[in-house]
Amino acid sequence: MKKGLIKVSVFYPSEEGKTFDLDYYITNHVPLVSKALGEALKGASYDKGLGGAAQNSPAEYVAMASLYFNSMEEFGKAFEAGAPVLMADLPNFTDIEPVIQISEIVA
Amino acid sequence: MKAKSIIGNSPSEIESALDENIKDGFKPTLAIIILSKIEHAEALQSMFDRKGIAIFGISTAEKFTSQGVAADDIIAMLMDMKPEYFRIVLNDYEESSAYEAGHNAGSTGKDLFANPAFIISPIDFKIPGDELIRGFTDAAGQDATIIGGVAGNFNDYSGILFTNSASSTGGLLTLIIDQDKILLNGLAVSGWKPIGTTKKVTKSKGAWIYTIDDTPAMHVIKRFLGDDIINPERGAKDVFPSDLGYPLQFQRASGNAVMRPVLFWNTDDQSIMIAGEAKEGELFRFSLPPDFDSIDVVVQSTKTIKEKDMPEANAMLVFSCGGRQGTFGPLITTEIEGLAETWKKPMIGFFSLGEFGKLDEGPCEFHGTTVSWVALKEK
Repeated sequence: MKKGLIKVSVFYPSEEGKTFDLDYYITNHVPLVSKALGEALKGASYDKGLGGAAQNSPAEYVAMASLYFNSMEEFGKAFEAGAPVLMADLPNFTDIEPVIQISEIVA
Repeated sequence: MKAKSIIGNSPSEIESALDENIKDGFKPTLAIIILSKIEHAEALQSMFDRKGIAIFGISTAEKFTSQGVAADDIIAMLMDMKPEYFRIVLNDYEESSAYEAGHNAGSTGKDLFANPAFIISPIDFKIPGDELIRGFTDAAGQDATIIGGVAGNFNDYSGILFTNSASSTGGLLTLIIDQDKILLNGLAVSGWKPIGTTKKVTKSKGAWIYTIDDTPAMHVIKRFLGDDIINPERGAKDVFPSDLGYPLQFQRASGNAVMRPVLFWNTDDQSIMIAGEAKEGELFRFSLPPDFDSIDVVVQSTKTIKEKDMPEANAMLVFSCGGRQGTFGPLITTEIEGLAETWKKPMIGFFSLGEFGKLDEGPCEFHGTTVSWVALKEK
């Protein structure tokens, strides 16, 4: 990804007693993200957590998404427009409260 | 919160109506969509995805707006409810029982909001509505606000439930609303008048009643309603559907009654299946043929709530039993227009195969031949 792009990371922390339906996430939610954010979304990757740094330690996050935008303005507009659809769908695959970080790619 | 209702015969007509209605700056976040041709669902999903509007979608045979029964194929209520005030959950019965589906949706609501309300539409006529309610109330509390209607067409009870990202031909669709932000007021009202002496269910299991006052159930039903309630042309072998027109009125401690029409008669053992559960020892009365008063009672229920609790509303949803449409005929328009007239705000609804709602201050129950209505207002 090129320098200057805005990267929005969505983390789903691994928590005791919480669930995450990876099949639904991949099959239903991921396509919805693309549709709801439209052309503003320049690229994306969706990851499943495998483990921590220590051998055999559990993953800190069950899953994470990385979404790329040209600018904060484009992200803001796209997210505002797509939020109703994306937020409404959350309980269909998880009861984890996602953590969001917005970053700029610097290198 | 602002709401608008739109109608159209195709997804493209709905898109045009939507575009027209957002010209004034209105930004809907939620669409409650009711359609008859299930093949339209996919195009609507795609269109509403692009526009960032969350979907609570169901199919039914007949639907209506404040203007009366809709001839167009698709109707939708658009609302600009803040995204953090609601969620939409679709549970498929393939993966769970009705109780589990209700319990899951109820738990999700309690996890999300301190005071959730549930607007629900299951599909699959065979699902026990009482079990669904039990699942919800076990998870979300006995006094949980649960309002809705069973979707599907009148012939084979099939249909579709859909959101933006998924659809189901046998499941439960739940719109979970934060009642600390959105006020919901509603009632399940039938207007049917009772007649005759009180009867007692003496042997039953689930929705099947075997004996009434220790007499085979169908003998008692026929004695009161006559042979005409049976429709032999529509029957499967030994099990015949009956006319929905004369519900049994199961009495509650409050003095109100839950309507449970007779759905099927089993000629083998003279048992009857009713819409909902019948416990041994429960008491019921028969119903008189309906008249204008029945409609007045339903409409008056909205006026009473308006005067007492909710002088203003932003939108209204109505789940009216398909059996009422058959019984009242063209008069049903009077009922629909009367309901819409109370708050004079956008209203949509459909003719359902079972209704969910509260009779009074008591718990939510599953009903037949009833109107369950809800008015919404942002606090």
